[in-house]
Amino acid sequence: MTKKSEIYAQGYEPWEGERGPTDPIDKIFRHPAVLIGRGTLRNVSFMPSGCFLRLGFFILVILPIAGYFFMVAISSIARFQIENLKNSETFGDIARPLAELWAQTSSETTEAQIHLATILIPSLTFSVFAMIFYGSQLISREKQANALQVYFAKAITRADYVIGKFMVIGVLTGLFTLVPSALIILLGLVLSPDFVEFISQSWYVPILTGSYWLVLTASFGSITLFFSACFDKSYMAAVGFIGFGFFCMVSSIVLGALFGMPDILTGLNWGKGIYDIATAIFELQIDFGSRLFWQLVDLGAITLLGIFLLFKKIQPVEVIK
Amino acid sequence: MNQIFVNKVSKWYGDVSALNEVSLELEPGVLGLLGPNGAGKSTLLKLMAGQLDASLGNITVLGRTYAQDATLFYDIGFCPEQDSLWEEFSGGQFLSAMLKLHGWGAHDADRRTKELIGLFDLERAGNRRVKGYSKGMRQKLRIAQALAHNPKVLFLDEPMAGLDATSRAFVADLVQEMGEQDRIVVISSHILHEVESITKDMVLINQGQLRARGNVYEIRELLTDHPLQLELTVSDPRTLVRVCMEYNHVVKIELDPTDPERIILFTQHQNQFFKDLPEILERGDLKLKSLHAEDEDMESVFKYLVK
Repeated sequence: MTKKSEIYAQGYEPWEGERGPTDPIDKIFRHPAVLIGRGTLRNVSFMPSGCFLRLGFFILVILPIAGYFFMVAISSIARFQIENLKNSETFGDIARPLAELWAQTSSETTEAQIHLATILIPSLTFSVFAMIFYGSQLISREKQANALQVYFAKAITRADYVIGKFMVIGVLTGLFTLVPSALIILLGLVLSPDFVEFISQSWYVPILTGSYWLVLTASFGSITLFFSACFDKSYMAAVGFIGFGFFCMVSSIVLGALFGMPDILTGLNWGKGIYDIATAIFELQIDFGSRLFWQLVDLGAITLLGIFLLFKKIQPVEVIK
Repeated sequence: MNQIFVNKVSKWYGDVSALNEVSLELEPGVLGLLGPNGAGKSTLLKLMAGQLDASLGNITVLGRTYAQDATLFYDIGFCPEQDSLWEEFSGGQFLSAMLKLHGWGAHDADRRTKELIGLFDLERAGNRRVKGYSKGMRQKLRIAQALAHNPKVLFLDEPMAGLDATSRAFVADLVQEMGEQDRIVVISSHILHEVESITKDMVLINQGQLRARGNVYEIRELLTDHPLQLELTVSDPRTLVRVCMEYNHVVKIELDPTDPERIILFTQHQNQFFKDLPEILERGDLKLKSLHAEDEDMESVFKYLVK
């Protein structure tokens, strides 16, 4: 233990360092929400402990994700280099039928639709698992450790805290939406035989992917974080998230069977709602129609309700609104 | 305005009243907040630290309120009673992250973290994950994060819990020194001698109500319902009994059957008794052989108050 004289030699004089950010980038990185997000990401236990669990994690999580990214990369390389592959001695036999198939469909398929087909189902599937295993931990672990008391003794607001948590959800969902989309575009930029043509066909795709990512982050995030804020055991939060998904699906089916299937009820099927909205985004469906409109309304209502309840559940600070 | 004002503050959790119209004024220095478990100490501390909103009344810290000015949190440090650490962080990472949340830049935060790790003797564990820390190490880390940013006001909720004797002495020393540096330090405990060794300024709280404020002797004076018990050994106890009965502040005298020279005397005003004692002895021509205040220490005062 340090002696008293040494302690005070190290100083409890008033701190004279820089409190405020020094430049715009610094301002972003020192924003409380970003600090909360970074801290949370570090505090999430990604790797389970124990040999068998780690092996299971590797087989059930790492391998499928790595396999998915590998497939995205391989299919994109094949698509962009199909002409060269067709004439290659090694891959010619495989590439020629693919080239014919591609030639038949490419005139009707936009770059956005290719992105949709590549990322929609995997992103929904992986994101659900990410919410169950990691999203559920984001607040519950801190509740369990009473870390909220320490957070809220700092100059942060509940909004900072919630935004920080959404950032982590955004990172998780972004891994399965933005990253594969960026990979396809990057490979397209490097390998596409006609660079200008590729740019003209895909310049808007990042906007569409970003929109889908926002929908996924907001809807999954609000529900996951709400359940995570309700329980101090992350498995309970995970059960809540899964239960809510099933409840929405079953209630939309049951209510539909009872009252016919008005569009207002189809939107209650949460997962189907995200799927249809994502499809509309990537297919640039301007005319929403009644069903998609109600899906948007229902999903928006569920998301806003989740965020509202989440704010209510964040304790112990009540003074900063 | 280096003060804290707690003005008729009440706090309810549903139907349960945790605090009832508590008023308090705090100046720079160390204040001990004492009471049994469930007395309302932690609630009062959390209210003063901006962790909870009062159901009634208001609290002003350094002339500001948390609702009006969130930067007030820059000036306070709070060490909660319960475990409250990021388990996957190392001790150093945790302290650095907490400093950054207080607005410190990365360079300053890292420099300060190194100082604190040394200060709290956590060098060997500084790079280990918090989830592997012992109870004492976790407690040290909690205290370190509370005072890391040089707060003007420090709230410590049961800070000695889980610490070994050396660490207790170190924390007591540290808290005293911070109190002498024009800071307001509030330390809560249900272990009386811990606080008594740090400060004589105390607030006693029980069942959500402020029972007394002052040093141990002043508080004792307030307790007119609970007389001070003194053991006196004199040359002639019966004469002492006769003389003492003429003084109003002496409420009861008992002879000790095991020792014919010893009496047990109960007085409601100890200061007055000690003023009158020479006169009592002179009037009875008595020789005082020994005098011992049975319940002058904080523990007995505390027992009286929580009865």
